[in-house]
Amino acid sequence: MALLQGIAIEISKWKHNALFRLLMLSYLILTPTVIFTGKMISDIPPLPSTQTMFSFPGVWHFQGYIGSWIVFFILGYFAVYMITSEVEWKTQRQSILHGLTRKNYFSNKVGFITLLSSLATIWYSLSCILIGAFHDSTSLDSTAFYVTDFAPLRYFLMVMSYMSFGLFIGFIVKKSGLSMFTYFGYIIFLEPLLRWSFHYRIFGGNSHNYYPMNVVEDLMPNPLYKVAAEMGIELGDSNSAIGLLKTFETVLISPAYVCVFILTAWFVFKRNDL
Amino acid sequence: MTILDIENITKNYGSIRALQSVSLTIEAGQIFGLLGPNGSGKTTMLGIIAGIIKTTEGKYRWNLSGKGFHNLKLGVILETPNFYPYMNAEQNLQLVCAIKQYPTEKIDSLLELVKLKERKHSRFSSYSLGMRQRLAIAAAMIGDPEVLIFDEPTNGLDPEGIAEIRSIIQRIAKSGKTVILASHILNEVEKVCTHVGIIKSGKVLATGPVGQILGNKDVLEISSTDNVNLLKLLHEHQFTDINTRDDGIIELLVETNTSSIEISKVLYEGEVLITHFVRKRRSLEDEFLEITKNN
Repeated sequence: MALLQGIAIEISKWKHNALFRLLMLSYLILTPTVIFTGKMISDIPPLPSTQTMFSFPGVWHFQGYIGSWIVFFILGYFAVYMITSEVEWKTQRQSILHGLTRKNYFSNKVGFITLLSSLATIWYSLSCILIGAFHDSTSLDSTAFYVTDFAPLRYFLMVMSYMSFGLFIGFIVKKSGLSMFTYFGYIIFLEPLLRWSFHYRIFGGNSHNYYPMNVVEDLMPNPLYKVAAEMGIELGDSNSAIGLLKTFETVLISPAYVCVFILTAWFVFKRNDL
Repeated sequence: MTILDIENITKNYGSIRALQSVSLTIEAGQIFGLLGPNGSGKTTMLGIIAGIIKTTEGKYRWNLSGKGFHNLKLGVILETPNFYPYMNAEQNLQLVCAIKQYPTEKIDSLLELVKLKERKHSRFSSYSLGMRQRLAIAAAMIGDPEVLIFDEPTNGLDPEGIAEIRSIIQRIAKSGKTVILASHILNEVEKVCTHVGIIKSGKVLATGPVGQILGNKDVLEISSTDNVNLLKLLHEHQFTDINTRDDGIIELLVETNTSSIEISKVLYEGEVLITHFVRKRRSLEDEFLEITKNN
């Protein structure tokens, strides 16, 4: 079965699902609007001015950082739900009984999250260009596509990473509630705890930054944190960037983690009874 | 032509052995009944041949026409029917058509067959168990499958639902398709199947055509005013397969060609006054109980 046909099957499955519609609508609304809350607080130092946040190239960074939170909560959650709900409804095994091979079923899921990641990136890019165009006094063509550090590519990798991690958790844990708990618990509590309370204390240095979800978070880091780190280095504080990875590192490492998540999920799915 | 060849399949769930070196052959056109008590390994067996359960040892081979994944040529219902709860019957069947790469035009006629056309726009979650089962049969029929696999298709249904499902299966069976039907309701299997396999504790105890499994034995139910004398008389005349039921009736297993007149003559000459004398064909249930009891 061709991948496009498989993606079409996924679309026809989910387009009728109320939660999917709600989540996608939330993503579409929240991504371009959350940044506007910055207008209320933008004049309070040391927070950035409206000019920095809403104009090029700053808008790419701020929108990307806001987007990463929305993606983590909405699209990552959907990736987990997409697998665990099918386990719960037993439609996963029913799909195989109807004639999908395990490989078809799995590749349809991967194809679908790739499609959603691409669409999310297009929406992010469009919102950046529109917000920037409205707020930037300089001409659009000279600044709009001045995309610092390949922001759309990093955004795509970030969405793909969260969604493939969600997929991985869904296939490994299977139970809906436990999967959600694992997904949010690992990213919010467990990994930071492992990094700072154990790894950094034992090994020190910079190696604790290479944990999977930290790499993903650093694809679209908090712009203020990045600026502060750069200022710290300029002032001679070599430890100020200790919690941040370089852009090229995140761009190179995150696809490797995506592959690890997807391949591990595939091997578990391939081997287990349904 | 052999359509399914199962060779020495063993399946373990941890320390529990669900199937032990099971071998079976199913020929094209057979209506094969897999019989066994609950927990005997029927669903595991069907799950394996339908590709959702992995074997621990052994292998199976489908001999179906064309190329591609064998499940595309199978129609399978395993345990409870599973569909997307928020989608209606038509949308769920459209999805199955997309998977099987089959035109959606026949959906209406399939819904007609299973008497769900009136409710095709209702959500699956609002269906009763009987309606779900009927939708599952419609889904299984999509793609004109060569083989249909039904696992306990009448489980949980009311008598009316059971009769409906049985009539649908009988219609399918008449169309010449191969059907594999797992059930512990023996009279259901006896009414529909041409061949049976009896399975218990993961082992196949007997397999063959229904007639062969039933053998050439009849059951004679006899009761008299003096059952002690009656039993003595039967033993004296070398009748060995004798069983006294709780209600006092004596069951005697005799060859089909043994004449009832001959037996009544023996009883008459033994001066036993008969109060009940019924001869009936041995049922699959009788045979099943005997085979499973001895193993």
